[in-house]
Amino acid sequence: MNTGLEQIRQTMADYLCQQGVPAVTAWPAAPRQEWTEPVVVVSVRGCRAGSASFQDYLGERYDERSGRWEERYGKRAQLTLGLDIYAPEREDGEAVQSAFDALAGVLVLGGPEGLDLQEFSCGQTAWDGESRRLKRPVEAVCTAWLCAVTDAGGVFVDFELRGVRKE
Amino acid sequence: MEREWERLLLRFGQPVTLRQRGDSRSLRAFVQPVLERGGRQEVPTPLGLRRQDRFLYLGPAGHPLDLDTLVEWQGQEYQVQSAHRVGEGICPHWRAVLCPRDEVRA
Repeated sequence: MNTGLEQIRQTMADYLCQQGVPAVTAWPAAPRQEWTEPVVVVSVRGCRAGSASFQDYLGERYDERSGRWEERYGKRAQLTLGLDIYAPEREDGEAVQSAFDALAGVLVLGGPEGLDLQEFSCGQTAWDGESRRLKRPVEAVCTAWLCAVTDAGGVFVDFELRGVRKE
Repeated sequence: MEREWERLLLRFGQPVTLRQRGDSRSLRAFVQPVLERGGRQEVPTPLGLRRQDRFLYLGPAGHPLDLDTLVEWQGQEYQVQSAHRVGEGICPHWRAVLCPRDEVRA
């Protein structure tokens, strides 16, 4: 069963790329590449999911496609996403600052569908000897609902990510 | 001694190319892996798999290296981690530590 969180890093990376901020997911199993520009590396730093209602019950909803009422269950999850900025070590700090400004400009407007961005923060730029890059740690705290419905037999189908953001 | 060193390079050195600020020079130098017992050759990092092996470069005194020099050897590009001209007065030569360059993103 999917928990709804499998694609969270890719979702955020895709969203940032669509907004013009180069981003990739962390820890790929491929040789790393030399970027000529700063890049945001998306990771999951933490996840805390808990019950949001009595026995996770969220109520009933009529599904027009299936033509039946379905029971919805869910948990509220708080996610801490790492959005660290890495830049070539021969760049100056201004490139990292510009990358952070662009990232912040996207984050203040919200996050991808399904994620309610609560806050974001950053540390200071430093040379990271492990990666031989300039690095500025950035993290964002998001809230999401992991919702599941029961099928006709009362069995849970996959969870999916549902945001709490209202347009 | 200097002449002996040049003969050694000519006879046993391996062909390398130094790329530096748009300039490219082919020469012969000694390049050997630095053998370590502790570290792994490749480690996972947030940016992907990173080679962490190092290579020792010994080259002619007349061809300086700096941190912006790229060394091409056996089809792979290497970045200069540190470089010093040593052996002044006896057998001057360039001694450098190289690390494999990451694949350049297209």
